[in-house]
Amino acid sequence: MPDVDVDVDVTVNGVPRRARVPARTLLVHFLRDNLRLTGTHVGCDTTQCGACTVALDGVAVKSCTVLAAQASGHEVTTIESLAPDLAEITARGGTLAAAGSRAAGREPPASPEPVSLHPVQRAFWRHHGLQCGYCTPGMVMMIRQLLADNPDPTDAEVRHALAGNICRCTGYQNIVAAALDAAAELRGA
Amino acid sequence: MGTAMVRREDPALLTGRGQYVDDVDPPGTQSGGTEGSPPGGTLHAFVVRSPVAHARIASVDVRGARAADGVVAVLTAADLDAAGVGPMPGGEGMPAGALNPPFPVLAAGTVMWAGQPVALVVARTPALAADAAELVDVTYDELPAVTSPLAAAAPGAPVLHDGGPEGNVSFRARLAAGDADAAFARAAHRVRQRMTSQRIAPVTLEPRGVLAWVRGDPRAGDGRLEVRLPTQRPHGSRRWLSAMLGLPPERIHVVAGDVGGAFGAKGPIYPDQVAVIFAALTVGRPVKWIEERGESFLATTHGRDQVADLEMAVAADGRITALRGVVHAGFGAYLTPNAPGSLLGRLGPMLPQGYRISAIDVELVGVLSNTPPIGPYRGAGRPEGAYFCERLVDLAATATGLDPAELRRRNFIGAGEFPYTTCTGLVYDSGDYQAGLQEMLTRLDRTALETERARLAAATGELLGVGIASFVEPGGITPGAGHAGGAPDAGDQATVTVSPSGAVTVAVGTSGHGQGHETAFAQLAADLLGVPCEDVTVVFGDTDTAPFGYGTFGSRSAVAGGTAIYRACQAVLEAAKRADAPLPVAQAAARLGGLSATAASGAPPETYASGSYGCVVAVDPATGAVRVLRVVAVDDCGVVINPLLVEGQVHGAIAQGLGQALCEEVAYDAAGQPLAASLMDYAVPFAESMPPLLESYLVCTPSPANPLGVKGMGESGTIGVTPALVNAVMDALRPYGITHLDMPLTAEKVWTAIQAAR
Amino acid sequence: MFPADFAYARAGSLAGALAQLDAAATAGDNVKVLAGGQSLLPMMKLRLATPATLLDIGDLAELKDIAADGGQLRIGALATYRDLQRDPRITAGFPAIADALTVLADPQVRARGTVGGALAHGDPAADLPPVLLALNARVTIASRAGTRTVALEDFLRGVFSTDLADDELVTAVTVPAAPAGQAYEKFAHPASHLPLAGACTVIEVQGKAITGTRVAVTGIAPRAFRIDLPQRDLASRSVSALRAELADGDSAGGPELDAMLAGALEAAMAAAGAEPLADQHASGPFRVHLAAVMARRALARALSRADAPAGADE
Repeated sequence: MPDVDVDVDVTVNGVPRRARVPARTLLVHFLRDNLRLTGTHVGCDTTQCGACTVALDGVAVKSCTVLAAQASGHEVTTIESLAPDLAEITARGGTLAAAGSRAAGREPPASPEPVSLHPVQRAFWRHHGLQCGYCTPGMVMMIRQLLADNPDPTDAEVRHALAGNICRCTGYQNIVAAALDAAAELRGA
Repeated sequence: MGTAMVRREDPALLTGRGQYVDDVDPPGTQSGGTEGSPPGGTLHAFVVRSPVAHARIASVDVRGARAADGVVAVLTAADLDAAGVGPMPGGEGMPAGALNPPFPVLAAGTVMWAGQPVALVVARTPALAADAAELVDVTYDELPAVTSPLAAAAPGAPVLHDGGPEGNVSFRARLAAGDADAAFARAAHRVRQRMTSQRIAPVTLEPRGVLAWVRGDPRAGDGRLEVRLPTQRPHGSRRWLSAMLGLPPERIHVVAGDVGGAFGAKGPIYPDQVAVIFAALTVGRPVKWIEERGESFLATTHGRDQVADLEMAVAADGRITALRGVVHAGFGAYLTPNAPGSLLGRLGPMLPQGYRISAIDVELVGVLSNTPPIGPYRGAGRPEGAYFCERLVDLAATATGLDPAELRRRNFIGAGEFPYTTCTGLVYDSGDYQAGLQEMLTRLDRTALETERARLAAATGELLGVGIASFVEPGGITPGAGHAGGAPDAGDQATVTVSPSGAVTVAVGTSGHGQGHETAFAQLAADLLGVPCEDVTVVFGDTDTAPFGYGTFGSRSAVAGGTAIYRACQAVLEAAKRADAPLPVAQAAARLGGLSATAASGAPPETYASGSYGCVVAVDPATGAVRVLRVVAVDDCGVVINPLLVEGQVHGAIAQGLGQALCEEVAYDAAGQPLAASLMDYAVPFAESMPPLLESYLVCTPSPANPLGVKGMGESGTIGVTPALVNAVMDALRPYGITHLDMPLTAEKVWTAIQAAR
Repeated sequence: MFPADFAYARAGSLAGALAQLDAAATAGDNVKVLAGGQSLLPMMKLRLATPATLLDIGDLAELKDIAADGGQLRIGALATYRDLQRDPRITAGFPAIADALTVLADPQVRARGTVGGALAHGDPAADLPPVLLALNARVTIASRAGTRTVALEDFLRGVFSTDLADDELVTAVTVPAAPAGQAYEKFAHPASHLPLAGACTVIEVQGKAITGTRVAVTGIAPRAFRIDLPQRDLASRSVSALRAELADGDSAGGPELDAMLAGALEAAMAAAGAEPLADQHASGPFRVHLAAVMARRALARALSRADAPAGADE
C-alpha cells in the first residue's frame, strides 16, 4: 500500500498551518475538521451549492472540489477572517442596537454598525439577505469576489455571478439587493 | 411591533460563527474528522441503504465491515431488536382500520424503498465509516416495485405490506357535505381535470444530521442522553425518542441549535437518526452522522405526491356550486406522523379555498408505495388544495367565458361573512378576499400587459402569459390534546423572566430555524412589557431551557408561541403590580427581586391568512422554456410583528413554489430507482431563475382568534405561486388550445405539447 | 462524500510529469492526472473514479501561458476558464469562446477548471469542445517520446474517451485566427448548468455574401461534432435575407430553419453511426431540436458580429 498521507502546508487567514492528512482530504474538511474553521459549510457534495466557497490565492473557489493537498503552498481565506474582531458575537443579543434599522436602499441605518463587519456582511444584515444562514458564508465569499472583479454590477450580473450558489430560504432577492448595496458602499457611492 | 427591525440572529451567521450540528463537538472532545485525531473523540456513522426499491433481504453479512480499519461498531436490525428499540412513530389521525405498518428503524426482512436504512457503520472518521460501509454485504431478492400513488392503488399492483384492507391503500375517507350530485345535475358548466402535485424534495441547504452522546448511564443512576438534533420539534423528538429507546423523557436532552433550513422536513424524527442515537448509547462514545446530499434525496421525507381527479360545477352566472372527485395521495413506504393530516386535515378541507361552495363530495385515498416516506413540506396539503382548486377555477373561467378575476369575485366569501364555516367544516376567522384581489390586480395592471404581449411576440417570438390565483392559508395549529406530551388543550408554553437588573428572558416552546423568531419574539415581548428590545433575550430549541411546546411547523409560531408569550407577559405585568407603586416592569422587578411567569397559549384557534398572486411569464415556443417575468404577491396575514421577516418568508416561499411549478420533481424509473438524487440532477431555483423583482405587498385583516391579531403566513408563497404560474403558462399556450399540463412545466414538456398541438 | 484513498504526487516539471506517466503506463499503474480537478474530483467523490495515484500538475507554470502569434492563439493546457475570460485577446478575437465561458458552470468552477483538463475529460456535454471544433482548434500532446499535434476533430472520440494515451498529457490548444462572425448558444440544464444542447457557429462573410458556415454542437451525441452546412441552403442568400429568416416566432423563418438544421444534425449523426444522447433530463429528439435552435440563434448572433464594425457587439 503506497503512502496515502500527505503533508499540507497552507496559510489560512494569514496564519501558516501545517498538518499531515490523508491525501483524499478535501480542503473543506481540512478547514472544518483539522482547523475547526466551521464557517465554511458543505451543502451538496457535487459542486453545485457554493456553501463551501473560500478564496484560494485570492480567488473564490469551491473548497469541496479542491484537495487540501492542492492548496498546500497556497493561501486560503475563509469567512472567519472577514470580521475577525467579532469572535465574541457567538453569544447573541448584545449587538442588536448596533445593527440599526433596515436600510433596504430606502433609509439609512438608524445607528452605527460594527465597523469590523465586511461591507458585504453589513449589507446582508441590512437587507435581510439570510434566513437559516447556512448558505450565507459561501454567498458572502462569492459576492466579495464578484465585487472585486466588477465593482458596479447590474442586478442581472449579480444573479449570473451566483450561478454556483444555492439559497433555499430567501428567494435571492434580498441577497441581490445586499450585493448591489455593498457594491455602492465599496465604490464610495 | 410592526417595525422592520434587522435580525439579532445575523451577526453570528454572517461571520461563520453559527453552530449547526456538524459544527459541534461534545464538551471535552474533539471531532475525529481525520485519521490523526485523538482516541476517545467523536465517532462517525455511515448509513448502509438499500440500493433497490423492493426486495426480501436474503442475508446481511457485516463481518468484513466490522474488521475494517477504524470501525468501532456495525449495527443491524438484529441489534436494535435485541435492545427493543423502535419502531418509528407511525401515522396519526387516520380513520379506524387504516393500514399503518410498523416502521422499523433498520430494515428487517424486507426493504421497501431505494434508500431505506439497512445497517449503520460507526468508525473513527467519516471517511473510514464510508469505506467500511462498502464492505457490508447484503443480498437482496428483488421484488416488483410500484412508485406512483395511482399505480400503487390499482388492482394487481405489487403489495408492500400485509394486513391492509385493500392492497397498498392505507385508507379511504369521504369528505361530503350538501348534495353535490344534485348540484352537478343542475350545473350549466362542469369542468373536470386530472391534476398532479408531483413529489418534490425539500432540499434544506443544511442536510440532516445528529450528534448523540451519554453523560453517565441514562438507563440507570442519573445519567443523561444528550442529543444534538437539527429539528423543528425538540420536545416532540424527545418524546418519540423516549418511546423508541425506552428511556424516561427527563433522561433525554434534545438541543436543536442552529438549523440550516427545515421547511417541514426536520419535523419528523428519522430512522437513521434513531440508529445513530442508539449507537451512541451502545458504544458509550459520542457518535455523529451528517447526511450527504445524495442521501437526502433517498432518506429525507419528500412532499406532495398527489393526483387529483376533480370536477367543479358552475352555474350559468359563474357561481361555483359543488366540487366532487377523488384525490390519491402517495405516502411512501411507511407513514410518518403528519402525513395523513396533510391530506385529511389540509388538502381535502381546503379544497373550497375562499369561495362560497356549499356542496362537496371528494374521496381522499391514502396510498403506500416503494418510495421514501412523505412528510410535511412547506404548506403540507395547503399548496396542493389551492393548486387543484385554482386550476379548476381558471378552467371554469374559460368554460363560462368570464374573466378569471371576475369569476373569483363572484364566488368569494364576503368580508362581512366572517366567521365563516366552510362546507368542509373549517371556521375561517377573518379576511377580505375582494380587497386582496383588487390590490393585486391594480399592481399587476393587466391592461398594460396586453400591450406587452404584442411587443414581446414581435421582439422575441415569446408568448406572454398572465395568471392569477387566490388562496386561503390555515396556520397556527395546536395539535390535539396530549399530542407529544402536551397537557390537554393547554398548548405551547412561554416563560417570561425579568431579573432584578432588568434583563428579560423569554423562553418559548416553539422552535424557530431561520425565520427570525429571536428577533420577532424579542420585539413582541419588548412591546408588551414596555422595555427596550435589546434587554430581551429569547430562548428556544432546548428541552432543558425552553418550556414545553410543539415546536415550529404549519405557520404556527406567531399564533401559538406569540399567544403564549402574550399571556406570560400579561402575567408578569400583573405580578409587577405587587410593587408598592405603579412602576415600569424593570423597576418593579428590581424592587421585588425579579419577576417570572409561565403561561400556556390555551390552544388558540387556527387563523386563516389569505392572498392573491399574479404571475407573468414568457414562453419560448422554439424551446418550450418558461421565463418568469413578474410575480405580484398580495398577502393578508393580519397584524405583522416584523414586516422585514414577513417579506422574507414570502420571498422564500415564492421561490419554492416556483421550483415546484417549473423544475422540481422526484421521479422514479420502473424499477423504483430515483431519476434525480443529487443537485446535479434535481433542479432548485437559482438567482437567475427568479424574476428580477418579487413584488410583495401586504394588506391587513386582523385575526379575532388570538390576542395579537396575527395569522400564520409561512407557506403563503408556495400556495399562491404554483397555481398562478401554471395558470399563466396555460394563458400563454392558449393559442395552441392547450388547457392543462402537469407540473413541473419543463421546457421539454411545454415544447412537446406545442408540437402535438401544431 | 469522500474519495477512496489514493497516493498524491505533485509534479515539479513537465519532464518529470511525463517521466512519471511513462513509468506508470509501463507498470500498468492506475494514475490519473489532476489539473483543476473540477471534473475529476466530483467523480472521485462519487467513487466513479478510483485512481491509485493522482499526479497533480497544477504547479507547471509553463502550461499556463496564453500566447498570441499573429491571429493565432496558443492556450496552455492549465489556463483556467477564468484566465481566458479575463484575457482581452479572447474577448476581442474569439467572441464565441467568451460566449461559452460566460455560461460555463459557475464562477468558482471557472476559477479552477482548465482548458486542457476539460478536453482530456471527454465529457459529451461540455461547452468548450464545440466552440474549439468550429474554430478548427488543434491539440498539442506531449509524452516522454515527444510532442504531437492533432486536430480536435480527431482528438475527441466518445463519451469520456479521447485520443490521449496513458503516458500523454495535453499541453496546449491552438486556435487559428477566425472571422468575427462567431457565437455560441446553449440551452442549459436547470440544475447542472451543463448544455442539454449547445451550438457554435462560425460564419464567413465576403461583402454581402456568405462564403462559409461551420456549426458544431454539443450535448446531443457521445462527442461534440461538426457539420458544414450545405451551401445551397445558406450561401444563396444575402446576409440581410438570411437575417430575416433567422428570427424567432412562429410567423418568422425560425421554425423552418430549425427543421432544416435538425435534419442536417441527424444526418451527420447517422453518417457517424452515433445515437442521440437521451436520459432523464431530455429525450434524444428534444436534444436534437434544441441543438438546431441553438445553432440558428448562434448563426443570427454570429451574423450580427460579422456585420458589426470591429469591437462592437449587438
